[in-house]
Amino acid sequence: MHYLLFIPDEKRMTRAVLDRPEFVGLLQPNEPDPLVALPEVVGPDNTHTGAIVLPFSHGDETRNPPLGYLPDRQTWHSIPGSDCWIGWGNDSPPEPDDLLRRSLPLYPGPAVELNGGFEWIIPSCMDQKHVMVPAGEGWTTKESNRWPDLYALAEPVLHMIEANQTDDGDFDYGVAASFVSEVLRLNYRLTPQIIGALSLLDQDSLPRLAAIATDYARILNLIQDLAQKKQPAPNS
Amino acid sequence: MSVVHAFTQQWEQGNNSVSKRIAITADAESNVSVSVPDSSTDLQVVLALDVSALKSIIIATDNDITVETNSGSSADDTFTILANNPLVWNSDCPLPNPFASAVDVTDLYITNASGSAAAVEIRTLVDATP
Repeated sequence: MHYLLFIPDEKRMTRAVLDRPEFVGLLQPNEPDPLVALPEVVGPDNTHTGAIVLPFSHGDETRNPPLGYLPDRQTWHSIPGSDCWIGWGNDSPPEPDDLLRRSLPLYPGPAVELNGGFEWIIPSCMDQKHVMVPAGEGWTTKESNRWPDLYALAEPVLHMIEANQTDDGDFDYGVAASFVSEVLRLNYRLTPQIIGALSLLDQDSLPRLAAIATDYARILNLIQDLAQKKQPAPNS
Repeated sequence: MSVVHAFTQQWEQGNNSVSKRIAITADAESNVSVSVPDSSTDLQVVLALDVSALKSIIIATDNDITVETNSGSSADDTFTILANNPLVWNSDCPLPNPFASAVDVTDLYITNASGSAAAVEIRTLVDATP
């Protein structure tokens, strides 16, 4: 089932409850409003009352978690870098299918198992559509505007992967995690803080995930193909 | 710790009015506010309530809703609450406890087919040490 959020001291029952730095981008503008309950009970921090928020409601309410704080039936974790908490039913941790942004077009990519054992669709840069646009008297290609400005984030990751292929250059796990989390949240209702709370990214698999998200293997093949084509033809 | 829930009831006809305020005291309360989107069927909201210890309750909404207790398919009690026409009860009034089944509540299942989101306010007062 979907996770719940606990936001201490929150009194509002509108979408504005998610107007916090740690939840930026959690809901896209055209996604439905979250469900909010204000139970007057002390929440998982054992100190504050506040809002219990379900960021997404299934049309089928039987697939929604109970809207409330049930310490005996739920598992709660503090969200890194935030005073908010994330929780889910003891027997029903959030799965990719629960967090998928169903009302938005899917960014294609391979399904990859992350820490926790579930498979998540990781969009690959090269799989994104390019559209034709007029340029002067001709036409050129440009990335579809569905693909946000992630190339700027992808570039240093690509260089880092490349450096690690040829020597023992340092792999910056922070840079890689930042990129992979930005890519993950395209398809799923996640933020870097929630990815951290769910422990989705482990250090061992991060280089592989970064390579998938940047489509390193495909880019390498293209570069090698191009290099071969530039080789002078052998004299006959 | 004692908790007081106060109710003001007023009748009016022209310039004639009757207004009474009552205050109910007990030692525990269970309250929740929730926004129920339009077209919600059986939205499950956590609210624990020992109905035999209930001292007072108000369920108010700004759009018509149906509230079922403990199940959306085989409820113990069902209340249809109209917009701005709250269910109000206290144990000092001569009317029976509205939870006719006498089954304690763990969750509420709220259905909203009103056409608009409903802001639902539930306040209960219970005697936790009867």
